[in-house]
Amino acid sequence: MRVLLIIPAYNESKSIKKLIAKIDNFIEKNMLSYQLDYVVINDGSYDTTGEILDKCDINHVDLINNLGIGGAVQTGYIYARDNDYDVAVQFDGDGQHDIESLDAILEPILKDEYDFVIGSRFIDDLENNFTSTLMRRFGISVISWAILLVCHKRVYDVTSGFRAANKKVISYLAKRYPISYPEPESTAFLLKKKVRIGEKTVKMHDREEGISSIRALSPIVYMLEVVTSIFILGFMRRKD
Amino acid sequence: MDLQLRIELFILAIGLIFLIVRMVNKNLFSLKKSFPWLLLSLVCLLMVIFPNFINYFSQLLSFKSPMNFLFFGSISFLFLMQILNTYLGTRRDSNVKMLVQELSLLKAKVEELEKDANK
Repeated sequence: MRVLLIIPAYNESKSIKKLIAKIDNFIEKNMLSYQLDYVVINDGSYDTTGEILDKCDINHVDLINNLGIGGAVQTGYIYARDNDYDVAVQFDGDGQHDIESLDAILEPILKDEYDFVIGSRFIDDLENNFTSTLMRRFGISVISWAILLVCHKRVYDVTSGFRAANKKVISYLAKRYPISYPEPESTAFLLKKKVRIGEKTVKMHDREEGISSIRALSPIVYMLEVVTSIFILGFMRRKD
Repeated sequence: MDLQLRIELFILAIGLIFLIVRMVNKNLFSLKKSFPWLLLSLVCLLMVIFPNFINYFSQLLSFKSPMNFLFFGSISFLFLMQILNTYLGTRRDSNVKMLVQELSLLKAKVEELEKDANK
């Protein structure tokens, strides 16, 4: 079983070395039943991220132009497909995700229980003290409701970027991945394709700033746009 | 606005929404860029449901007739869309140019490496 970590990175010169070290440490410490590789997708960073990746000999792809999180992650899926990986795992390059939680989302895929597993912060309040602004949590619940309405499945963490995909899903996402609101839209898209989606608790670290790659005029506009796009996806036919 | 006109406008607005939704789901239309068109069809639907809406605004902005206001509004909308498209087209052209340049330089590098390997 070959597993690939897709690590999108945009101007993460301060944290990328530490992140890779944590992953290498994780691989060394544990007797993994699968082969774990990683590829950092450098999304046109203008700081020294590119140089650090070259100097430390970290497996990476430099995008010649910034594509945004959607384009960067899709590049990772294309890489996974072209290199015939069995499983691909999205893992943020900013250190928000905890590598120790990898098995939580990987195991259900390896056991073929699900095709796609979302690492969630919200299904088990006990294990996670993940704090977030009220506005963000409200926005996430509205999007979650929209997905429920349209795809008839309750997904709690709709913006989680910590997700694992099997070969079938890799081929779907390599071909079609949303540019604008990647995580909720791709989830709705996969549900429309009748993919088996699971959600498991993972550990994530708090973000220092507020909203990450969400460059919105305001959270409300962002939320309206995501909900509209999900409603539109609601009319998607399976063969699209 | 008389009833027949309202029905025709309603059908057009629904038709436009349907077209946009199909195009987006088939991945032929960018979702984000379709929002102005969806907004337009929403406004059309509002005009159908509240016909006095247009009368109020056309009088407020001293148009001689509501039809003039509608024409002016439509043309202004098209102008703005064109300006937006000019910007997007320029951005796209410069992206394509960059791709051509990078690809060509890469090709030259590969050919050079092949030459060195064959020596």
